[in-house]
Amino acid sequence: MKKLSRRDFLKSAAMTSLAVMAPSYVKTLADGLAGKSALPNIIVLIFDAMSARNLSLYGYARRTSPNLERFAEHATVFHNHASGGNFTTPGTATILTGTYPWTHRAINQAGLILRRRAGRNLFSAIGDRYTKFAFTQNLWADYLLNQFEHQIDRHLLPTSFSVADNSWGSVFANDLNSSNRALDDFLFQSDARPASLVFGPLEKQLFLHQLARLSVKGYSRGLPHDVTNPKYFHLEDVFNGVNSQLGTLPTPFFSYIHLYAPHEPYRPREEFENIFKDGMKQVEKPESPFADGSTVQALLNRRTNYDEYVANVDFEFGKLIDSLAQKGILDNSVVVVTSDHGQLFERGVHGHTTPLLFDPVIHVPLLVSLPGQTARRDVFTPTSNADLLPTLAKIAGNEIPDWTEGRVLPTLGGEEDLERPIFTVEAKSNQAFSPLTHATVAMRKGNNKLIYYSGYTKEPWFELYDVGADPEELTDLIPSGPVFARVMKEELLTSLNDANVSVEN
Amino acid sequence: MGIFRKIPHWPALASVYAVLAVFVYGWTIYWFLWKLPSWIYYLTMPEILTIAAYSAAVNFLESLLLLSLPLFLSVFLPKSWVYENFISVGGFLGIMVGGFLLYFSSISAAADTFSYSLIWPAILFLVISICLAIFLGRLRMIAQVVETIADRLKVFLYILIPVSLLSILLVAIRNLIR
Repeated sequence: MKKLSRRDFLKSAAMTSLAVMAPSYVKTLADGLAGKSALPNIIVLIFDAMSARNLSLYGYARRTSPNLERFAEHATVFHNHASGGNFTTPGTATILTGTYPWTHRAINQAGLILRRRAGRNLFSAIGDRYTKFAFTQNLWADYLLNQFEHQIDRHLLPTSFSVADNSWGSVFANDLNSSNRALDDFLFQSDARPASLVFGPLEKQLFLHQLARLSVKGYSRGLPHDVTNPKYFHLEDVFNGVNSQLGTLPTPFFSYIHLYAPHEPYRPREEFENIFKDGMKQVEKPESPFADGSTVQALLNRRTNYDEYVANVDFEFGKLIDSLAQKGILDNSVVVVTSDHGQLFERGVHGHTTPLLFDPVIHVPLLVSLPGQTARRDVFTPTSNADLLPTLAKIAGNEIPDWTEGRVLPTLGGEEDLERPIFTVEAKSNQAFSPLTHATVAMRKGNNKLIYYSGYTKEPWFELYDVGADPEELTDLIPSGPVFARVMKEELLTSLNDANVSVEN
Repeated sequence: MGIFRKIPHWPALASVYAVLAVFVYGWTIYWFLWKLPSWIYYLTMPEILTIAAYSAAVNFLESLLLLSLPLFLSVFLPKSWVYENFISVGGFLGIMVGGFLLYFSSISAAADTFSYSLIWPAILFLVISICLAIFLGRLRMIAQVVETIADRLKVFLYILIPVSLLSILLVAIRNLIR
């Protein structure tokens, strides 16, 4: 009898799980194709800056996500899921376009998808049989949604469900991207000197006056808010608002919801403050050349605050899911939970605006719950947020677009493939319309992860980690010169080169 | 009808407006040029020009709002206080207020909580500026200097006003026709 290799075993395991899943999935799909009314609703829920590494769902020592764990009992849990980028713009654009940042080119802070590609997006892939709803609290993500405004039936402003905001761009509802950028990000910008000499400071003082009178009851650290374009909100209001919106959408609906939490500033409700007094120690890691000066203790404190906020978000998520189940909405809904990027608390770096692509900043959760799913499934093959678009297109009963770089997710119609490379690209300092020369590219293939740093110093360099055996990415394998490193380097550079050529054309 | 008789003539209004416009537009243009290298990274030229159009439209409103201050003083104060020396009083006031706004903009940007300790000094400064402008604007030497500056700055209006009107039109079209 032929001995099964590890890869063969995984393949057959995937096929077995697919076979088990297939009847109910295919039935849903067939019903969907038969008529609009039988199509499942699709709810995509994105939490900004939620790292899989900080979720107990994925084995984190702190119990940050009991409700996600509960939800996972009726969902497929993807254990090695990667974001397309390491901050909102590229990460979100990868979800929305099913392509990597080197293709969609929303690579800069507040950047946009290449204009000629903007028509190819999640909303067009879902098709016209769905009522399409979109809401994001993050203005940078909203810039992207505004690019396909005409394909969205109901698009809420980022300030919806906020208790205070100083957004003026939304006054010009027919020209949101330009007016937001001109007014909120330039003339009246709050985080730097406003370019408007009279209205800028005046508007800032009025906004501060409004904030001073705002009730922060229940939030002793202050209300959660967006850091770049201040809008203050109560977490529970936002979840309640989303809940009420979902209850009013004509079925079948596709809803894309991108919430700001648990993005910093980490401001949980009082009940979640100081819930993790466990004396957790940081794994010691070498300081990165891109360290921002954060000390080990400062990083640990921030991590704890972040964990508390994640727990608060998880609690609200639990309430939302329970309410949707009670209303019967979940009976015929596919629910997808993921994040646009993660968050880093190591190597002297806090946050995600960094050239680094270590696991905590790109490893994001992914859970997909199908209507009527009663058992949990776990997928360990590396997957990407670029895979969401083809997967959802398939669930919506549509052809998988040939322009996507993603694949249908395993157990949802796709196959597990350990040889498939998964990419994450960070290139905020590179011109969006030029070849990528100033960038970090991470390529995950099986258990190996190659990271390529280009344009930061005179010579580019690589790092290679076996994330199966070394999940903390402590031992760089490049100096030991494994044979597969050369093959991986070639593959990464060829893919990057192909993408660069494609953009130039 | 007395009120209308105390509205200064167009040339005088234009001179004072020029002083104010240079502050208002100049500040925005400065920050526009500061931002431009980053915008070029990810915005197309039409998108950048649209930001410029919104900026010019807002600047136009701001400068008109500032002009309303000396205009208001001219209309409601005795004729000899402001109306008869409108260019020098208005120009002097424009320089004082413009300079203060540059300073206020920086301290306001740094503030993260509201405080009346920022507002009352600003109002006090405005009142002192008005008094100083009315008093000093009547002194021959200062009047001459201010009038000369205001006269020289008028040349910018040949660019700023048409550009602003075009910008308002563009903003209106983008918001009404789409």
